[in-house]
Amino acid sequence: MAQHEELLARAAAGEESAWRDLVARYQALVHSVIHAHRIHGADGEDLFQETFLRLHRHAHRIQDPRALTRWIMVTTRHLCLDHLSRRWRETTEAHPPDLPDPRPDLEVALERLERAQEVREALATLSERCQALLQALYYEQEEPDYRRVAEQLGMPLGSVGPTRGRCLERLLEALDSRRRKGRTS
Amino acid sequence: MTDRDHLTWGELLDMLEDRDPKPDRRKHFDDCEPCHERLESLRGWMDALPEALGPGAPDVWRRRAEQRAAPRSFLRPLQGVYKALVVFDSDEQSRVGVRSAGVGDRQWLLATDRLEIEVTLSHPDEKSPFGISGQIFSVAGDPPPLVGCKVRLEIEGRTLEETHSEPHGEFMIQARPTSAFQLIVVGEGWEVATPELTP
Repeated sequence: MAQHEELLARAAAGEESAWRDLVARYQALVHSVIHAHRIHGADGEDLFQETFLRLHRHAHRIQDPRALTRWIMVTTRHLCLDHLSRRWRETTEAHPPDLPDPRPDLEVALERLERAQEVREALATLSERCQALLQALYYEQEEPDYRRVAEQLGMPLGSVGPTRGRCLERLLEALDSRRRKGRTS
Repeated sequence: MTDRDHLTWGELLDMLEDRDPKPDRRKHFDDCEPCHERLESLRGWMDALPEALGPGAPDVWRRRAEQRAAPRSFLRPLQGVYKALVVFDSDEQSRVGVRSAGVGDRQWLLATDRLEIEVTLSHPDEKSPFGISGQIFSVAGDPPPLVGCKVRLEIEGRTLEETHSEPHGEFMIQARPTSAFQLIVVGEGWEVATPELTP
């Protein structure tokens, strides 16, 4: 999996496959930020496209690619707030009411989304089998049912638990290694 | 004590899922600050796992983003009065670090529906004939003409200087404000005002 620095440089240089990889890597993050603002449908898609257009235009200027996740989140959030504020003005002549400062909540939400992006990128380094197993256990089911998962993935029932343990350990090692690299670079 | 003595991810996972480790490992954990930190990281990552496994955006959104499709709202002509928002301020977001400017310059990036305005305030010690330089960008789609737009520098509602944008939307203003200022950019049928920018 290409590092951010390399991917960003190639996308900025106009390499289409690098751009597609960037979209693939960050689409879920942009989508989740838009979703967190409760913007859906055509408006949500417009904001999604606009975020990526801005990323494409500014890719060559991003000096610290390690901060890319945060840049994408901040840009998407600003676009969402701008959109909501315009919607407000279109539907009422009054000024928006004085709302409590949303920043503490915003910080918590951004941290959560940033962590999910970290996990997403580490997941992409695992084998397809591990990804499918974790998907089946942690996303598709509220209460993991090993028997159903074993049938779904064509695995012996007895190997679901140990495989899950190994996949999670690999995921955690990948996360730990990325975090250590981030600290030392 | 080395990293090898600490609880493994597998042991920490067991603890997170309420399976007790062996007594000697439990004793190690109780006195081990790095193990506690790793357990906290583990908890955060496991909480984020379901979200990370989600499918993300609909396929059609992704495909359009790969093709750098213009948002549909951009197909309308730009009309009306807009307030730009600060999306980058070099003073507050140095960590994000996306803009390039001279050392010590202050830079803002302001965005509204269809346009972005980059504003650079030169450093007071710099011998520049212009206090403010900037550029208007069209985000995408059918761009409004960016040449010949009026750019007004206002302080406390009074116009201090006015200029026009050049062929690629660039503009230069001689004054170098030392207090809060605002820029108003006026094009054909549209106007974008920045919020007050404080040097």
